Amino acid sequence: MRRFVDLHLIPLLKDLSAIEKMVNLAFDVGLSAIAFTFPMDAPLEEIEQARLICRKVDVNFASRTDLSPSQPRDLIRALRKARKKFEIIGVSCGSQTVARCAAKDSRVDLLNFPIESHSVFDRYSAQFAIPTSAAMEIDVISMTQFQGFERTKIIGKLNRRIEVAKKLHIPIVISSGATSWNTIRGPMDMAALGSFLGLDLQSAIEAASTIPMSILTKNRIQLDSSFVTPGVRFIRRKIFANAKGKT
Amino acid sequence: MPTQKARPRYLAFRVIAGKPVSQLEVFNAISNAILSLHGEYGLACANIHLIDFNPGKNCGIIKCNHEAVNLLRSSIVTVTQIAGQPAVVFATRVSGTIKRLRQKLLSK
Repeated sequence: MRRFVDLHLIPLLKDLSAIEKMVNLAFDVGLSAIAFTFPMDAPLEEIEQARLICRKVDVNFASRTDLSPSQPRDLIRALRKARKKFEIIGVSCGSQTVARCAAKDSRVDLLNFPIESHSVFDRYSAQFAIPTSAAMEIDVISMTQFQGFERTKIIGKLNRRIEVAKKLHIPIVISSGATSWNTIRGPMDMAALGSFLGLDLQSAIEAASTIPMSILTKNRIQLDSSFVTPGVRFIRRKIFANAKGKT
Repeated sequence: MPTQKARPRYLAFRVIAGKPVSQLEVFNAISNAILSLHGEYGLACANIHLIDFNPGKNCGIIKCNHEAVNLLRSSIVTVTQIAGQPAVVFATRVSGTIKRLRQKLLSK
């Protein structure tokens, strides 16, 4: 059975009842895993509290942080701090230099291109920012919060970005970007919207299920204490005794 | 045997809103969403009919053209409010016959 994932929920972390409502709705719409976005300096108790709420509803929880550096140097510094704390790292690429740096860094999971930035991910500049391991993220909320002429501009931009990503074989992840319960959307409905934006339906469904799940699984393996390097992990520790009986 | 008959799809959906909503309000919200995202031609091609809506359970069944299922699904994503209240609409099941859809919903 296909498991759907939404890697971008941005709840008001102080309001536990709002978090609970979001998690319940996420379960109702058919999501089996969700990622909450925390600020980089969020205390571990806050993360554990959210994890506990998700566990009650039987929804798989992941912690995420969004980095929006202005310089590549800031990005590298922030990645060093955040990588071991959060399961998912998204980078908001406001400039081409940041986009290139984020694309080359294997610690980055998701590249998010703000809708208001013009030439960060166009046909030309995208050639220099082909990610090594990251995926491009599309937030559905950018389409639902506007109407009319504003929305036509957003649809045009998303359409062009998807076209470029398809051409350069960059994986795409569709997320809701929900900030409250009324912005959470059904995963199959989001996939339908993705197909309307230029993805074929199968790829759109994968963008809401298989691709985000594989990112989450990969990161969980890497954050596990038994992980050594890709392909190598501790299975068990054994202390060998030498001939004199000393260990 | 080839046929000219339109093949319908029945889509079960749920509404989560701040206050109780009526059948007409739900239908208006969904048709306005299609109109806004896909235009008059899209709404005409979709040929939607609200078959059933239970205000107590906030769930209903909508009939559309079989080629317009994704059009309908992509449009309900853009519904953010119903009758001025914040709301979420999401599809729960799709079926080719209303009988089978009701069976699926009851067995759930």
